[in-house]
Amino acid sequence: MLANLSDPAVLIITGIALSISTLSLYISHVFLPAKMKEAYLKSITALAAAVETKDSGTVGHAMRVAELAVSIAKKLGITGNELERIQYAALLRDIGKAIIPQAILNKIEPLTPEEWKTVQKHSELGAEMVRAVPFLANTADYIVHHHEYWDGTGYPDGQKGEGIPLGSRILAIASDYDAMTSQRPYHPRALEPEEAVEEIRMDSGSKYDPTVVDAFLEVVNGHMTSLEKVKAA
Amino acid sequence: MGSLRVYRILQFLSFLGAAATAYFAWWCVPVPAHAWHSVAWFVLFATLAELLGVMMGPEDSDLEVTPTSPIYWAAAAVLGPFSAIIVCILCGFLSDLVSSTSYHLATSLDSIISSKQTHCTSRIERYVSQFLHKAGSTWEPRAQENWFVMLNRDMMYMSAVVMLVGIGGLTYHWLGGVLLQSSNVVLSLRNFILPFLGLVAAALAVEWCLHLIVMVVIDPIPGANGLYGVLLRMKLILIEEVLPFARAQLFLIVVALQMAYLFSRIGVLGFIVAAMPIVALRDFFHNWVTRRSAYLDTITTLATYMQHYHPYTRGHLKRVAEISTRLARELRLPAESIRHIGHAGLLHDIGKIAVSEEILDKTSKLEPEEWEKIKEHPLKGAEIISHLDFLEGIVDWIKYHHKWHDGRGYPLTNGSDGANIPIEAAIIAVADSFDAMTDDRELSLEWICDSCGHKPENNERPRKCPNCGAEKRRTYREPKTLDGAIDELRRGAGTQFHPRVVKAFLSMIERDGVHLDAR
Repeated sequence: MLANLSDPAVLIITGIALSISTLSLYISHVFLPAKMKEAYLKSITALAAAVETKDSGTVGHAMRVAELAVSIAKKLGITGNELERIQYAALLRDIGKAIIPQAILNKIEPLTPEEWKTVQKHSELGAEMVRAVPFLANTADYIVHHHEYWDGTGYPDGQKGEGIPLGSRILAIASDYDAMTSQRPYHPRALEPEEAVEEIRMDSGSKYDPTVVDAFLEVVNGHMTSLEKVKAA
Repeated sequence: MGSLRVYRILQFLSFLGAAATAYFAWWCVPVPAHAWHSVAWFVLFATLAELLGVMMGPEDSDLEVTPTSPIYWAAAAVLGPFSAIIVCILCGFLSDLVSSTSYHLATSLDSIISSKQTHCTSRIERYVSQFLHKAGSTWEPRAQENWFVMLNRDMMYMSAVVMLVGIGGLTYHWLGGVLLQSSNVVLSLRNFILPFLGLVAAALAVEWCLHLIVMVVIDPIPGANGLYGVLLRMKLILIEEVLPFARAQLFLIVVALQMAYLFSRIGVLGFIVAAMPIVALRDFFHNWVTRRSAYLDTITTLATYMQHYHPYTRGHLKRVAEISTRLARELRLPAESIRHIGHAGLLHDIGKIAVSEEILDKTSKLEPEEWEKIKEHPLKGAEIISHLDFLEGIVDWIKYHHKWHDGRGYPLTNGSDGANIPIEAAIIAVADSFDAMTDDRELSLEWICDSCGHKPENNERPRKCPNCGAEKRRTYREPKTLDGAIDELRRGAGTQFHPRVVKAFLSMIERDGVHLDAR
């Protein structure tokens, strides 16, 4: 029986069968997951962008915040799934604004306490939306607390220090930095990057977690020195 | 009960046919020496194949094929028709035995798992349970049936299989095929491949003929008698059962050919080589389908939530999705459209996220510039959707869901008339308008008296305020009655709405009523 193994037809058929199997295993276990991950990232960025057009009218904040948050997280030694979780949370952090009236979001005059409360609801609303989606449910924790401050002055729960999840502490810095450096109707002059970095450095230990601020400064300094190098060259 | 008697006669005839085929097979083609060994292997593999059906396409396309038939064909070519018949019969009994056992084992395993205190099940338990469920899935629907009915049907099914395998094997023999088990001749087109194709053709022809006869007898088409009924049934079988499986069938023929050849050369190893690509492809299709649907569900859920600025929207979107899906089925659109039109129904208004709520909620007349804002929403929605993978197909459905059949409506496109609007967009337009006309948006608002601010308990919605007696004003207009909405659709057919869609909608409503799951 095994002597027949040298039969060329047997060899050819076996070869074809083996290559079909290998190819389909490769596609379904390596290629497909990678492609799906890409599709998720792209779609979620698109949805976040849709909310941004409603919120600030300019697109790209979510992407920038995600980039910054991921670099900070990397500096803090976070890898793998956790890094991905922070990335998705950063993209989706303001998705709750989709169901907050545009008139309040874009108001130029100071908000009334009532309106301010409505705006503050966006982190909880966003977390609720994300919780309904199995694949993204684990980002809900980070989204709820992304406006909490280290000293307990943030919203919605006024949590303090280590009580705030690390992912949210990273998001707080990344999103505040982006908010300070970009123009908004209620905040017409955007800060220069150096000014914003200085603000965040000053609030280290009061608003922000000092260790995360250190990582942030490292990221920003690395970025700025590389920029200077480019300029010098 | 004339048809029952005919059925019994049919049953008797099929037993007779099976017996005759078996006798002929035994008489015409001698059973090769030492065949029993191989018979046992064939039975084993055929049973495995029977229990683990293979999905050869997207889940909802029903392309599940059990790769048992190629094993039977291969058996007929390797061992001759009589041994192949034995293989069929033994496999029938064995697979029933295994599937009933695994069904019972699966149920008891489930009860053991659910009675455990912890909620987490170990990985092994999950795999075993999955496997047993899969293997027992053919038994599950039968568990409720009367054993006598079951036995009768099984016997009839088995005699059909005996006939097709026997006749296939005889054809192979008459066309000059050699029995692979006993010969060491060099195989060629003339003595192996062509006869084998003849075998498959004969087997399929017998299978479809038997199916046709049974269907004509037990399920006659009303209003079609005699030859016309037979032809009509033939057409139906061709369209619904033969053509959709043509590609899978072709694949199975190739598998059977190589299985027969490999088994004759390298024995059991041949089965494994032949089964490898099937198992891998099965894994691939399964993975692809589950991942894609998980992705689509995730993204649509998230996007649907993003539209819930108003409590009214949620129900509306779900109903539009449901009506659209039913309409797409009614119009017999391609499977791909039916699969995605529900997503489109849920997402059709996502462009409104860019429109201020003040404009959307305005009950008084809109200013021209406000109208312009609203008119942008289909384009904005299409823009958002175009970034979502696997939903590229629905971009145009969303873009044109406010475009009229006669070219009016929005968005304004140069020279676009009804012919360019995809039918799916027309379906969403009808579903959207119907639901908007019949739904009472008022119910989404809290009932508060306009003059004294009284709020009744128990969510009552009285006409007059029980506190001050003031008449309650409506914020939104009164919803139309069902007849009113239908009239409106009928009036708009050909101008605002696609006439074919309206026609389908009316016949659907007339037949099924307007009950909606999402209401």
